[in-house]
Amino acid sequence: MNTNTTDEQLLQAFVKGDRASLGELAERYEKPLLGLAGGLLGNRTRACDAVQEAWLRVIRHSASFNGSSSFKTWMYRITINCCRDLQHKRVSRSGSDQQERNPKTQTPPENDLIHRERNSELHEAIRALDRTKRETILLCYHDSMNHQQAAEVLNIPLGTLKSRLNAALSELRQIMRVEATP
Amino acid sequence: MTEIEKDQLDDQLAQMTRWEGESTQLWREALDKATAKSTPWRWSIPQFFHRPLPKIAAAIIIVAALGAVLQLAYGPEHLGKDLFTATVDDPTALRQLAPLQRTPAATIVQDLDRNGIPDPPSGGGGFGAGGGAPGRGHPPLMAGAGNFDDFGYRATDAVPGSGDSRHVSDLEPADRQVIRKATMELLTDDVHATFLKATQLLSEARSEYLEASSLTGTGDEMQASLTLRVTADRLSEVLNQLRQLGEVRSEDSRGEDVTSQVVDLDARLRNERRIETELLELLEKRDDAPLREILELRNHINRVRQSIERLTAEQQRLGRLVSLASILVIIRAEDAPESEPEPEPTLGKYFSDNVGTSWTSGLRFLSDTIANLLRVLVGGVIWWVLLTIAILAITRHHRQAHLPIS
Repeated sequence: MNTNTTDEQLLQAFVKGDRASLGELAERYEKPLLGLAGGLLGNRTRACDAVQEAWLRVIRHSASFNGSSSFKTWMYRITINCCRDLQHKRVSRSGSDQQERNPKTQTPPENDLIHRERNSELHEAIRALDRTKRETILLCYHDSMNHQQAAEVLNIPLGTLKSRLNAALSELRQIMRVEATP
Repeated sequence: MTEIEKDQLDDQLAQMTRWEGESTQLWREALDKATAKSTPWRWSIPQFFHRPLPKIAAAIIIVAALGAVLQLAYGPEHLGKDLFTATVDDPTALRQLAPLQRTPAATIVQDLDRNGIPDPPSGGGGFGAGGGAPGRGHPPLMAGAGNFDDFGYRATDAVPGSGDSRHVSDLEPADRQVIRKATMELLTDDVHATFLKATQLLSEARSEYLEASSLTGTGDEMQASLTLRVTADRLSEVLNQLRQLGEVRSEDSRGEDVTSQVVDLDARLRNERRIETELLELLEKRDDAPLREILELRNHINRVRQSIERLTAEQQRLGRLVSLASILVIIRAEDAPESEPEPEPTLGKYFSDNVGTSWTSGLRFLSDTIANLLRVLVGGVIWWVLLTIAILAITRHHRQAHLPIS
């Protein structure tokens, strides 16, 4: 497939029956999506689950994609929704949102890279933020995402995104400062 | 926070959403899953039914549906059918119902068997078909509970109304046992004289008697009523004589055929007497038996005798009803007023009557509505379940269709 082919054209081709087109799209987006999901969920395995579920939804509803937003925005929005659903299910099952937000109580796999990161101050501070701020910060600092795209994914105006990002960063710094204080 | 620290923070934040490691093929797995899911439809219980209340409701609906199905399949007349009637209708069910129908006899035989008072009957089919009790030298009374062939009786003898019911249909009209009743209303000039003449129609020699009588009012309003019990074969004759006592205003006669009841009673009585005889013979032969067993046998005999007495009384009562017909005679004066004319209802009464009627009809309508709702709810339970499943499926499909943009 030509590298100049747009995402939308690839999706169109997939709808028509070209499975390889989906592979091409995955080549472009799977890793970034996994990165974002890993940041949001704090767990590599669950990130994989979320992205797989996102692909499943894309496959099921690819025919209904109307192009009102870009494929990238649509795909990221689906992924974030999947992350939210997973988070919600996990909280429902454990019966405690507190447990979910407190990484110290969790015991992730030993080879989990995120687990190693969790020990850092920053990671703990991020986990301490509420969901909206966490999503805003991680989306805005995500490599393949600019502020305009992040605003589209979150379905909020750019100005709102920026103010929300500032507020989130301030809170993050404050948390880190408090945690750094002996 | 310094500029360097800010840059570090930015780097670390960017690092948090980077995926480091082997490449994945999640899209392929998702594609396989989607393809696999699209072909067969997997049955799963909706989440809604995981809660206790819907579970209970579903169980109630299922039980109600089963009940309705049973009701429809067998009908209330079958469910509540008397065993005795079933025996008469269906002779093949005879043997299963035999022990239930003649509880006293069956109980005695089963008790004898259980308590081990064995003794072979004199002649005939014998009491036992099985081996004897070890060490006692006597065979058991019965090989199996309720098997009356082993007891020396045929099923037609043992079960009232079964074999005999065949004879009932074959009976000549003259053999039929009918309870006859007649009612006659007479108009006469002299109520008192007619009343006396009517009583004189009875023949005491034939055990006929005046069951009840009353004489009320005076003059034109005098009225008499009397219930005559006359022999059945003289019913027509007495009715003819009564007709001559005055002007017949109305006459009614009816008969109730109790032949089958009489035949059944006869058969049951015969059986009970036969059992009594057998037990007495048993008692006589086993005078060396332990006292406890003799006492038990006496108890059995007492129970059989009680049953015989009860059946005899019933037989006699039916016999009396059949042999003596009842005639209710009402005698009125010829120019007696028919009845008081209805007074014109007042407005208040009219209103209260209407309110009462409306209230009653309203209640009836309400009960009819509830009954119909229940009928629709229970009778259409299968459709309700199908409808619920359809709604759940549609809801589920609709929800899934909107998942990505939710």
